[in-house]
Amino acid sequence: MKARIKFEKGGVLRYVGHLDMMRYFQKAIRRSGIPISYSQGFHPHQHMSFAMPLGVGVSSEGEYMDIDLEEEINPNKAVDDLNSHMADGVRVISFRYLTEEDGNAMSSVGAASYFLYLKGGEGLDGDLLMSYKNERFDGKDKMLITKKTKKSEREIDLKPFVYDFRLFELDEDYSKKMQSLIPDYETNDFRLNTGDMGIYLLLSAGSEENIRPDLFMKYLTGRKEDWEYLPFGIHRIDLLKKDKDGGFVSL
Amino acid sequence: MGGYYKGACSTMTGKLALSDKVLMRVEKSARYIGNEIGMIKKDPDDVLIRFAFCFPDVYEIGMSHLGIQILYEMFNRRDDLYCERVYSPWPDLHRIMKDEGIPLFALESQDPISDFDFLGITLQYEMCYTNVLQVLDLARIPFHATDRGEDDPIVCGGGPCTYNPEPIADFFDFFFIGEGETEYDHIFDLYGSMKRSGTYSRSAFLREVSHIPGVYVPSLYEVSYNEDGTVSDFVPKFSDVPATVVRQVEMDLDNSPYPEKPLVPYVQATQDRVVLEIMRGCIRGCRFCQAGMLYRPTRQRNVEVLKKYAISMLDATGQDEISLSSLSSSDYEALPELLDFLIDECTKRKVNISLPSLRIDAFSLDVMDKVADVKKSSITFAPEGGSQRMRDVINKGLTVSDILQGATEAFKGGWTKVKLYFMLGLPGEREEDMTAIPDLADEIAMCYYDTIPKDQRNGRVRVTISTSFFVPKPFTPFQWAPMEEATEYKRRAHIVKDRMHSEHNAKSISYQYHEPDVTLLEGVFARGDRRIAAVIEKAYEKGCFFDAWTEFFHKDLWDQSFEECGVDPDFYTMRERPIEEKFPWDFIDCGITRAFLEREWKRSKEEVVTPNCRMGCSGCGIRKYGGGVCFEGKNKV
Ligand code: SF4
Repeated sequence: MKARIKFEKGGVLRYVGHLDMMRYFQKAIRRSGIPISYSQGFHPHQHMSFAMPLGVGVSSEGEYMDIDLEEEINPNKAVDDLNSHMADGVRVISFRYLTEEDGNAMSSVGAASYFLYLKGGEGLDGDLLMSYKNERFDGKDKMLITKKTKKSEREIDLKPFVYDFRLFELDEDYSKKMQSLIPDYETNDFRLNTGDMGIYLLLSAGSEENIRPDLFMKYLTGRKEDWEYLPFGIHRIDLLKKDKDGGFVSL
Repeated sequence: MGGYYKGACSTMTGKLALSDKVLMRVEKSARYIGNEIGMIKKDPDDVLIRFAFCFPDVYEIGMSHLGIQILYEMFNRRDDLYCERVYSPWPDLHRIMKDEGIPLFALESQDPISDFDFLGITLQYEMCYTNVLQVLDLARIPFHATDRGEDDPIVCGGGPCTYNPEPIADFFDFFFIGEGETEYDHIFDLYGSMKRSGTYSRSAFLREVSHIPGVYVPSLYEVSYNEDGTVSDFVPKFSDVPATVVRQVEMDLDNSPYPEKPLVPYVQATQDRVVLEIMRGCIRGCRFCQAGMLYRPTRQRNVEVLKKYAISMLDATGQDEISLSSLSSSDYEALPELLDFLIDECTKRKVNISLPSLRIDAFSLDVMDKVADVKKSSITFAPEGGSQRMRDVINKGLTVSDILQGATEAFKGGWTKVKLYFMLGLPGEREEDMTAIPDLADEIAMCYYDTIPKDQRNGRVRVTISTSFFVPKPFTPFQWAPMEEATEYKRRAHIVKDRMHSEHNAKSISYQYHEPDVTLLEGVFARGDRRIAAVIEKAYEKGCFFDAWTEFFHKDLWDQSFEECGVDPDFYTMRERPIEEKFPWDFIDCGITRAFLEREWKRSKEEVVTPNCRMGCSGCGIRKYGGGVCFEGKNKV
């Protein structure tokens, strides 16, 4: 029996990396007594897999992991049990059983949506973003950039992989929500107040073509080198998969 | 703010001492965010006393230490005190903190250390001494206790290195010698009452605290030296200050504090498991082993108490491994009962059991067979000395036939990997003792080929030899012993290596040894006096810290520091000290008598073994503590 857990991550826990986060959840599941199934052998491990790693410093309200269970449990109770064993900064949002069509989280990810906020650095503000968008995005047929991975370096055209890109002003609700997820926003001068300019992105993700938001921003700002410190913060809104009609739905 | 972050405590509002800009630039930033499961949250405004507990090494090492967790639990039981933690920032963050003027902070409240009443530093190994200065430096506390003002935290130290605290005495306001469970409440009571009554001043407190058993306030003592450089006199400056500091021992382990809800770090700790301390002390009396002398008498925890701790720790942490901790687990009398329980419970919970320091015999092999994959795991022997003669010198009661018998059983059970631990440079070591090391490894390999018929062998047997160089420590029978030059240590390692290559089964044996440079420095710190402090300070100024990490150890800088301070390191390491020499640590009464140590030093020279505490009492002096092994079985009166 497989189940999918959705959670959010913020606060100081933003600085906990992906591998540490996996170990964190393994322990949290043991603490909360969720009857997860284990592999055989002397060092049994839990049947658990994350949909996609989340980088250090990145917050999210749409993380997913799949687990295998030994026995069926009540989904609402599972959410409560898990949440009573979470550290401040991680909260389980939902727990649902998977059906035949669902597939596993990792292989079904097709896109990720992001909210990027400004960090006040490098003169990056709403006006500048607007002009970049004008110049380098609107009406462009091709958006060429060099994508570096550990193994290779190749030029790619971002155009077919950027499904949506919009600039918007934070309304009061969204501002409040982000401020509670990133309570240290003020001391860090993160632009999360009502009226601040934010970026919405829907990018191809997963095994087919994974486009990180900072790669898109590198293209947009025309920057050659990688940033030592990003002048914008990344918040993942959701992970999505393709539905039958070619649109995207939440995992 | 929304209802998501509850409560008013600063830790919940996501307060961090380091900015996003800093955290995103350093390795493993989760080392610095606190907020772990098991972290104790209090409002600093609600307490009278703020205590920052420091392990002067990187987070992953410090978080693996049980002692801190015990005292963290105990201190925080007090309503008037908040105990927080601090570790050494890794060199990448250290640089940024220096450049940007960021003060060192505690993990819980993320507040600067300078806001605290106490900075308590645990001293687990000598090579952390420059890290003590790093912590003081980043915390903006003057290095010298005598330079500190009323607003600076009281800097106190504890742990095994306090059995000769003299090389770092200048840097501490006081040391507590012994097990912290015993007296810290009295120390805090005193501090609290002086604060409340308005009688507190730094000097008045230090004078008062020196009356508490186990407390040593270095600034209240005067040391003088003979012309030959040895200590001539060590006296209190005032008549009310005790001339001897007596080690304090917790005799009721079953009712003393234990962290039943230990902290669960995000960054993987070196010991990423819950730890069950089954016993303190060791009955064996190996003459090189400081822990075996210092932690007498051997005290066992009640097995029922341990079962309860195991369950509550696993429940509270969700850890997937539990480890037994003691100096010699096989000597814990209720071990079979405890292991039966743990195997049962851990199988149900899919939790691994790790069993260090078990003597290899039929019983332990049977247990290991249940908890680990024999094909992957290895069996470990620590004969320490290669020859029987050497093992008699060091009083290691392990014979070749014990080892071969254990190995034979293990090979029959399917094991094919053997690890052997030895020391080189033990007192009076001869070439035949060195060559005996690979000879023993060869005998073990031979034993495999003799025991297991060719068609049943699972490849070649693998015997790994590790040697470390011996460092004489205070309060051991070898505290009088000389060390060797670095070149001589290297030569000895090469003797072992060359001999290994000529063994019949050379292909089944491998050999690793540590570099000797750190060993000699450790030797200076272990038996040094107050004049070493200047050298440590100089070395830190030159950029030495994290000396315990090979990649950060700079021998050249240390050499320069000794030279510039006019201190000859050989004085502390190369001499065989005369039996009547007054040692810098003689003012400490650690329980065992000097007469016992002298007797043991003499017996080691005569190659005579001394029975362990259960075979018969050797009258080491520890009986006066009134419990433990001294009053078990045969030793009963
Ligand atoms: S007094 Fe005797 S039994 Fe007790 S620790 Fe010393 S030698 Fe062992």
